[in-house]
Amino acid sequence: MKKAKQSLLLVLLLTLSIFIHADLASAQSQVLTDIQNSFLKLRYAEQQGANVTLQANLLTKALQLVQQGDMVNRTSPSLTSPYYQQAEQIVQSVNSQINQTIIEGRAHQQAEIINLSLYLGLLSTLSILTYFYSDKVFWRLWLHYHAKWSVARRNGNKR
Amino acid sequence: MIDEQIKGVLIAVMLLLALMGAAQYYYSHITQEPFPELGTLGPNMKIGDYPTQVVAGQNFTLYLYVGNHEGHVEYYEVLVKLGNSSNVNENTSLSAPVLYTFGMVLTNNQTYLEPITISIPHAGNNLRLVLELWMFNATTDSFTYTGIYNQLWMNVTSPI
Repeated sequence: MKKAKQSLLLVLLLTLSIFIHADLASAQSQVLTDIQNSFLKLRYAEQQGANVTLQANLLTKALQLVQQGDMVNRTSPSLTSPYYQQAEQIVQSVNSQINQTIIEGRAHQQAEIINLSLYLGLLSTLSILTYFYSDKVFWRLWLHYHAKWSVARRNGNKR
Repeated sequence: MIDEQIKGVLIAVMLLLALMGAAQYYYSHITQEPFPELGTLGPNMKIGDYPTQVVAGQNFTLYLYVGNHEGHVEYYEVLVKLGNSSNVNENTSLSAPVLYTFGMVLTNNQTYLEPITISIPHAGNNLRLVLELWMFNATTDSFTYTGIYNQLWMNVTSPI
């Protein structure tokens, strides 16, 4: 009877251990999938002109936590889950920042295009003004700076 | 009248300035030759002093360097594998079990330099510790081998 109880306890412990391992593997896999999805959003945000350095650093931090969790899992699996939980929290915070980052990125990209358009417009205007009015401006300036000049005949220089 | 040639030169200078402005905008948004970087530094954070004799199961430290010059944000993984004479080159990754995986997300021109702690599980002579750089491919939704790897030759002795 005692042996049967011991065997039952052993089987229960083994089953629990298998469940814990399966749960940890699932948690790790879930975090990695979430990081991949978050990375894809980050890439889209960057294409929209956003600066995603801060979010990229956060995802690297999450990956480091997963790596630390994996290391701890080799020796004490019961201490692993806080690492994956913290990594998951970081990924969620990145996801919550992305929409705002995209809006800022689009605004930045629009500002860049407006600046370039203004620059090109200014140069085009200057080119047109130069073509049509450079004569007038040149001679006006010439007159302004030579207004006090007087014409005098040189002695003994008759031709 | 101003000489037509002078007028032409003035307009040419303005056109040149416009072209330079547009080119600067265009080239700031593209990368001519995209490439990633992988480097392994010794325990003193230098290229050298690499461990050649280690004890199985005992930790040693290396520094991992990864650089992104792809022109956009990238998700990399460095796989640490242990092999012997198996083939690894620019096209084929080492066919060996992965000991460790280190992941990082880097923006363009960003670099990663972090210490990594490694231990070799079993003893052996002329073992190769291979570090391979893999990159996340959004199209296939999986990591692909970049063809870039580092390797360290070492003898691993059994713990006494």
